[in-house]
Amino acid sequence: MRFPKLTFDKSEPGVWISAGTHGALLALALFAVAAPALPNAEEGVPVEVLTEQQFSELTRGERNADKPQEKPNKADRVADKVEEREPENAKVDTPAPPTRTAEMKLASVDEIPLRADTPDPAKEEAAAAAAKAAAAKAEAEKAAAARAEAKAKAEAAAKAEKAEAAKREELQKLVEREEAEAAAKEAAKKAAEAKAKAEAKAKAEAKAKAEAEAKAEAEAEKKLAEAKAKADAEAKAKAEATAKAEAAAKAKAKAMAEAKAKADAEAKAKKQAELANKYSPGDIRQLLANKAPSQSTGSTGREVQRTASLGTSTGNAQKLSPSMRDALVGMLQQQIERCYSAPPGATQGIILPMLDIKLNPDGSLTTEPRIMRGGASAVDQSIAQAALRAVRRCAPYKIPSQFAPYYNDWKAINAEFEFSRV
Amino acid sequence: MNPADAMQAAQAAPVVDMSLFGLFWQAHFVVKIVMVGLLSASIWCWSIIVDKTLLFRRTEAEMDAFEEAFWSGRSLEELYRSYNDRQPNGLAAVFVAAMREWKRSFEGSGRQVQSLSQRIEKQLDVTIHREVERLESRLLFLASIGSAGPYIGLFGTVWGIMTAFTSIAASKNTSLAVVAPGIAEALFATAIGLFAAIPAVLAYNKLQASVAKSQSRLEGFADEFSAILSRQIDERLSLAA
Repeated sequence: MRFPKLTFDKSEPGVWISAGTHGALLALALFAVAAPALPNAEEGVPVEVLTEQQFSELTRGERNADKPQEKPNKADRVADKVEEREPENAKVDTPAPPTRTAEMKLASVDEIPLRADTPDPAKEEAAAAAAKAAAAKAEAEKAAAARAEAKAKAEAAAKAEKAEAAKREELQKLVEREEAEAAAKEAAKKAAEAKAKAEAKAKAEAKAKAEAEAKAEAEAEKKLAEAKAKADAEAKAKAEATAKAEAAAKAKAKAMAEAKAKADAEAKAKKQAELANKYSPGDIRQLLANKAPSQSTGSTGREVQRTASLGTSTGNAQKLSPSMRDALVGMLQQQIERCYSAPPGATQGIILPMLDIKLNPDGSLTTEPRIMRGGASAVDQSIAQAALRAVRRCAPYKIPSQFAPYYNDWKAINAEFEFSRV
Repeated sequence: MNPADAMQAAQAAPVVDMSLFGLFWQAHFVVKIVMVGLLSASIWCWSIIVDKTLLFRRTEAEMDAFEEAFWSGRSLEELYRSYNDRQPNGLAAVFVAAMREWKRSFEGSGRQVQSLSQRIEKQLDVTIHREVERLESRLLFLASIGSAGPYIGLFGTVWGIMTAFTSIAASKNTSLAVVAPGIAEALFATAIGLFAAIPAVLAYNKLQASVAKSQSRLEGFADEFSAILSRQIDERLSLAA
């Protein structure tokens, strides 16, 4: 091989070109295409190792529970007597909150808040109308009084006696009217009494009071009248007459105001009593609140525990995992094979016999083994029979203790056994 | 392993320089030799490629020029004289060799025309062979690098991986952070091998095709020229007879 001269030759510049290009590429790779910094090395996460037992437990129960529970949370049997006390059947009722009694004084009406916070607008209107009517009546009375006064003033100079008589008459009339009103109210109250005792009592009281007041008023009026009569009798001066008339008017007005106040109080008390006795659907809550909450102590036999159970090691019906089943069948086959002797002249059968072997926990046979499925040919039959004999001869079988929890699953084994021709 | 230990291990893990220079510098001595060898092979390959490409281009141009001159109608003597002075290449070399043999046969007293045609054939063959060899020289190196380069690189890689695993065994830590850098720097050797081999293979195929083309052109010209010469010889023989 001829190496080129190291001096530059114009006809063969390959070495120099190649070396230069390589150098340039290397420099580029070194400086321009620097490898990115590697991230810091991190340790691997340790993996939890499950035993086979734990895994088979995992396959039962609920998937999203934390861990297997010591005891299965299902009751084995349903309790004979279900003990569950609903609020109606509670032994002790909670005491009901005190309600407004009929004996409650009228004076304390204001202290008791109305049951319904928002009064009925119609009721309110009625109350307003009643108040208006009362005011109108009072005004009318006042007007009448003023008229009477004016009349009295006008007639006072000439006919004091007449005026006095007229006044007396008027007073009489007023008293009469008031009495009539009281009677009317009494009638209304009596009608209400039939409805409710509380109202009736309140009304009766109110009436009694009203009567008393009316009486007092009447007395006052009478006294006034007497005083007036006396004054009349004593002196028949104009000034006195006017003064008396004024005083009478004042007294009358005062009586009127008192009567009005009384009427208002009565109306209010009536309303309160009505509201107290009226049924309100909004009060159902209050009605229900009278009862105490359920006093159930919990069921004995029911499923009350709601925490999820991630399988259980003591629950029944544990299943063999496929690998364990294979292992068990393999063990049995190994043991059976020792007792197996191929029927003379029989070659390997085409169809493997499927045997039904029933085992006790200690590995002995519970019942005679059976052929579940076998070939129809004579060879297959003889092989199956030979297998049966082997199964019988080899009992009891040694079954490792790790399979003990799964006895439910392997107490009856249906498997195909394949024996080598010994 | 508790967290503190893990932290210590992480700190103890070697800080790996993944740059090209770092990869080279950390490599084992044998791997270094492989790398350097492959790099110089690559340089040599490319120098051959450049040289040969230039040579073929030049040869092609010379052949074109000669053919033009040959078929321009100039006398063979004139052509011989003009090309004999300089070192002839390609077609010119074939022509000059044949003409030289022709002239030698008619020089001096006696005429050796009987086996002149055969001698000229031989001369043509030898000259063509020499020319092709000149064109082909050093191409074999490209072929060798093309086929052996990956293997050489692989050798470096295997060696590097062996040392990497030895270091893993020494550090008693199987985390990827310990394994990976050694393997990376080992693979770097294979990368260089491929880097040298791929252009070599491509260029070898291309240049080999050019050589074949030139050779067929030379042979074609030689046949043509020998036909012309043999006709001349036959004419002279008939004249002499």
